Amino acid sequence: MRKRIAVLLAGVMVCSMLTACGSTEEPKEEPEAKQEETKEEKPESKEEKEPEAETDAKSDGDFTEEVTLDVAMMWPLDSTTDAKSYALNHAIERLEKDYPNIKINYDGSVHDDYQTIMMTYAAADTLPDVFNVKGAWIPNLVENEQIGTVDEFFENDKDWSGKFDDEVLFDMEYDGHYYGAPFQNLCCSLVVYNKEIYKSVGYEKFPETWEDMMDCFAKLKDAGYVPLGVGNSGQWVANSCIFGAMGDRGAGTKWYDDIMEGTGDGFLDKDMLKGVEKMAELADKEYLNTNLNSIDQFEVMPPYLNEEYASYVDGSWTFATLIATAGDDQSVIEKSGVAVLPAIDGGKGDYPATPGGSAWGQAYNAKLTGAKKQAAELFIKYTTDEEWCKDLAEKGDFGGMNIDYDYSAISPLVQEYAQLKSSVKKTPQYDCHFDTSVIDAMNTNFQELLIGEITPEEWGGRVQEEYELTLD
Amino acid sequence: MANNKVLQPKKRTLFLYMFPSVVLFLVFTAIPIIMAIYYSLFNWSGGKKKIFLGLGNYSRLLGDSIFGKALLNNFILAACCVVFQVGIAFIIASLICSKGLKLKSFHQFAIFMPVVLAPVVVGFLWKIIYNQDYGLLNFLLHSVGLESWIRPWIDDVDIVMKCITVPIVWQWIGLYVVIFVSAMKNIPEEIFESAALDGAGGIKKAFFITWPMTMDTVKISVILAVSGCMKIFEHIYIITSGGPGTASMVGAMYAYKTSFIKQRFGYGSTISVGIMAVSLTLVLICNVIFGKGKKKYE
Amino acid sequence: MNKTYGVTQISKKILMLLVNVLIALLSLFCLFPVVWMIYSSLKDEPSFLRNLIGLPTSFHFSNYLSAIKTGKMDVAFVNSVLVSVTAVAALVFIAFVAGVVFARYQFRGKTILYTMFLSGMLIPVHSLLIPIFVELKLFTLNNNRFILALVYAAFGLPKAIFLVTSFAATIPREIEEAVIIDGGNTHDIFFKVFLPISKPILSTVIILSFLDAWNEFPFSLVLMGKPELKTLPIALTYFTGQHSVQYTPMMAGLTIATLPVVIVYFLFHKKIMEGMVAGSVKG
Repeated sequence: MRKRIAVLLAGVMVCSMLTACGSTEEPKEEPEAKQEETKEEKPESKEEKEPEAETDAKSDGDFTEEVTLDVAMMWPLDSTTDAKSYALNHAIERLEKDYPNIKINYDGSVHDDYQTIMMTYAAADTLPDVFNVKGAWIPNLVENEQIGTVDEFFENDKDWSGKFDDEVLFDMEYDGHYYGAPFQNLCCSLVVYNKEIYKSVGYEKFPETWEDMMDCFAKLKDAGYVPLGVGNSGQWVANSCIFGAMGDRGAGTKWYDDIMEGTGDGFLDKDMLKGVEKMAELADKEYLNTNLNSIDQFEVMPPYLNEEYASYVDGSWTFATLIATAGDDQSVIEKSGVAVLPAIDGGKGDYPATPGGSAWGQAYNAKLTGAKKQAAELFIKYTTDEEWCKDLAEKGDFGGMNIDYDYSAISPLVQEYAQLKSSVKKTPQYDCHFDTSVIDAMNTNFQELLIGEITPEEWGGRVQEEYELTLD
Repeated sequence: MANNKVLQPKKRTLFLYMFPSVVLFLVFTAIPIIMAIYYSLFNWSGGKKKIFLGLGNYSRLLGDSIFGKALLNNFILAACCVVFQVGIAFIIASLICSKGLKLKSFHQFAIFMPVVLAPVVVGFLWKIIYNQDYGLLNFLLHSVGLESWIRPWIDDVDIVMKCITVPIVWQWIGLYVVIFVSAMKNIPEEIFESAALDGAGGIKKAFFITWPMTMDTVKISVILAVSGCMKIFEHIYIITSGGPGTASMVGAMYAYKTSFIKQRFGYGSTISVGIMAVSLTLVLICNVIFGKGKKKYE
Repeated sequence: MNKTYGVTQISKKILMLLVNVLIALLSLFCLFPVVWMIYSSLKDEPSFLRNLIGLPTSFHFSNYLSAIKTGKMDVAFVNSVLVSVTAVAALVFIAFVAGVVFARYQFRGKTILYTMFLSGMLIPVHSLLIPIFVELKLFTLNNNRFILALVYAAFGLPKAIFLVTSFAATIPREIEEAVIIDGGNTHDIFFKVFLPISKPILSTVIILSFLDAWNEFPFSLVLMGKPELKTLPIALTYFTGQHSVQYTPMMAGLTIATLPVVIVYFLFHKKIMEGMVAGSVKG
């Protein structure tokens, strides 16, 4: 009997230890969590029950009740280097100052993880109130009624929405409506090159035709340089930054339209494959770094700065990182130039042109109504307006509106890019519009194409297979 | 038999003991798996819109060459882990239990260190080791004059899978060393002594005494290693993401890509269910091969 | 005769030396990552990028400050400790009793139940991400550390039960018979006999499940949607932006996340080993 009591006691002790374990942490988080929950739910239930309050709020634009907005985006608030984090902190500050009754509940993650989170949220049909939307996600979100159109926001304030260029709005359009406000303006295919090295093989500036470029690369290779660096371990650089331009050089924008419509020869299109053949030629002649599939877009920078690479291919996001990577020694950057990939013989596309646009935008949950929707509208405005663009410009980044800003203070290279940006034509970014599974098939097979494992025709055949699956 | 009856506790007691684990398993494993199987019957990209396909996804899976390649990579990996991870660990553990080795506790501590590291850290580190330009491996080859061996290791479709196997084997050796050492220390000293009297050397002892005496532990280790390899993800995600192309694709990576990058949750679930079915078969086969051990559970 | 004896003796010595050197190299190579991580965390960004393996020329402790600021490592550290400790405490207790029941007693459906648990070891975690999120969201149980700990406990359960069952199956029957003869009951058998005997396997379970919980990534990412609830692996991602990486603060962050576990292991590894040996039953 005694033993039994002892065991019982021991059991009780273990149990209480366990619950104590739970409860010591419980008080810490519970009140917090509960408070926030009630906070969140209050305005919502209010809206449902009292539609008049809503209309009131609408008519004078004031927020008489506290509104909490759940926001999830791909920038951690505390980042010390990211331009977007800097602008976002400032935007939230401005918003909360102008509208003290709006509370922002912000959850930041980084790009790759943000995709995982949003995919899970979308699957469970519980997207946050305001979020970043990628162009390629829009069709699916619209069909599931998860994302609201920003048309009415644009209509409400034309002073603000009128400043977006068509080229950045292009990525946010689906079925005649806009589903996001652009917060950036990208050029996705750029070559950053070392002017002095190019000069040493007889090229004053980056070649404008494919033949010239091949001649130039041959000379660079003979001189012991890697002619063109690529960091494709993320699998998207070859697609976004090379094929985005080369596909269009070959087939023009008509091919893009055909893919979106489901017409034409798809990925077996002869003109488009010309662009792919050019990429295969780069691999075949060994003008690219041999480790292009195992290093990422940041890892091409040190060898470029060490003058082992004569140039590298990336997008307009490259400048801030390149400057930071160079640190105290900016000498190589001072002799760098920026250009777009050259024209090809018999191609249907324009030159000079680069795929570009906004790629991403600020969007809101279709379920929002009343005061919450108004707050979302304000948040979207504050994170895309001129002030936002100015904050980005300060850090060498480009928002969705064209503003006057002297980038030469940051670096002559960024200034040179700003000029290039306004002079080249923008073509569609394939990876912001094509079906996500087609993009993945393109990315995966480009890795093999660029190391000569498959031919352009095999590449086309494999992607076509995936593409046909999406047509059903 | 009579003994068993006396020892067998009341049903209520057994129920009480099993209750928490069964509930936890049901809520966080069994029900989610059933949900995943349900999703696998649809063409689903998230949200409300689901198109019922019946077994359509499964018939697609059977003809999916990437899935086949991924599974093959999983099998190769599992085989390598069983042979090298468990094998090397057994040898090191025997050495630690023998007299010849110096600094035993240092070795035991050091070899366990990679187990403590997050798989992500290990992946990141090995990616740098394999780096063509400033990686440790090419640096070492260069300094011992084997320049011809220098290559972009993880860019070569023929060797990338072997390159990925090394860190995975390396990371978990320490775990099996610890498990084996504790098993070997339990072998009665007298057996070794009498073997020594019969003139058996170190290697003979390892073969004829240590190996059979630790057979149970070997079985457990093999099952742990196989099950770990069948769901391996982080190392590959960090080092190659399955590339170049699909050269280092494994099942879990393919399922992840299909669900979260291609946004095909239905087919992604199908792939996961496929992996689970295959790995379960594999582990059951392992159990049958080790059939003898079963008697003890009955 | 004498001569050959000498030769084998010498070759044996050489062999042993070779083995010693090989194992020492392996050991050093196993320690290297931690050492590399620590000294890299003291370099400045450009010198790290130019030479990944090289030693630091000057010490930049500021990386640690920026790691704590950027990653909110302090908050994340507390969260990780709370979640991992709770998960391990729950798991060890639950797995111990279930494992012993599986190993020692008969009941209907046992084989099926055991196979079910065993199959739990084979699930690629990402396949459960959406189902579990959907399930928890239904009861608004996401954003809760205690629930995350339970999820971790559940994931560790199959392996833990497998280990405990395999171990408990080797304990001789006579021991529990003796307890029954002494008038003890089932609880006595479990907590007075099996618990002390199972120490070695339980310490293995504790180590493994703690490390799994400490390093777990996807579920923490999706289930903890508030900055104040994030765990260490999530905090570590804040150093990689879409278009930028801060390597040296990341190294500092990795050191903050890894070093405490290494130290705890360093302090207790002898105890753990001793426990494993002393607690075992001679088979």
